[in-house]
Amino acid sequence: MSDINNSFFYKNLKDAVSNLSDYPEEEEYRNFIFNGEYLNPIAQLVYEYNKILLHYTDLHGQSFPFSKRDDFKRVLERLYDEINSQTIDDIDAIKSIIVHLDLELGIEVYFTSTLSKLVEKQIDFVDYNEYASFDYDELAKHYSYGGRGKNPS
Amino acid sequence: MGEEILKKINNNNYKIVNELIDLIIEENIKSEEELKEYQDNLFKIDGKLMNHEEEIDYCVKTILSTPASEGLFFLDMQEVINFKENVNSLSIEEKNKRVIIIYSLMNLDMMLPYDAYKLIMSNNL
Repeated sequence: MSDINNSFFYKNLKDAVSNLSDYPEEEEYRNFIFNGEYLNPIAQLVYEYNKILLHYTDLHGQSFPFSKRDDFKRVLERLYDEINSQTIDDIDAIKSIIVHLDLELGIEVYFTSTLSKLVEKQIDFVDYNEYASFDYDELAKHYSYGGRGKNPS
Repeated sequence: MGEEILKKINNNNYKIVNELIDLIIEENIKSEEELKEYQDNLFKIDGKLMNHEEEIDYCVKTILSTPASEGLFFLDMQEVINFKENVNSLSIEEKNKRVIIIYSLMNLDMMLPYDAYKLIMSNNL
């Protein structure tokens, strides 16, 4: 338990949840106004992907152990493909994965309504170390079925 | 450098912003000067650099000789066709901007990243 409490991910999660306002949808709307213009949903994903990529490259990613760095690189490559595909199958799964990566890297969560919904649904948040294999599909499955990749139904 | 580009994102340029940030990370480009050098080197033939207008014309010829058929949305296809039909009547500035957009629509590798950067940073893209 002490490991969990000391984890960077859980500290970021705790901070992000405590910073959630009573109106996360409005907060999220404000987060995506750039130069007076509200970004469309795809542009929001692109913005978030690039924000994560820049932080991963410039800051935290450099200090990751090789295997973790490699796992994150693969997740980011897949995220890029998903966002740039002409038909996005599950935008909520993509947003959840983006929120997860924000928390892993310790950067501000912009999809606050997604975070709020995950908290309301009592999703079992677990960090990188607790995944048997940390990849895009595993993350998507995790956030689709409520935790640890298991379907609660 | 990436952070300042990202701040200029909008509903029209987000794909180009994405490509540009990907490129500067991939090529480890740290400054405007390095980006200019990178672009110029793309057009270096036998050690000789092209001037800016020649760079743009090279890209125009590539667009004209590349079929825009597969995987394009109807409106994007219209944009490409319209460019091909009217390119000769465009000013060099307009040609430059449209080349950057059409390259992105056609999923061609970015050849004018420095120009894209300058247009994005000056809110012209």
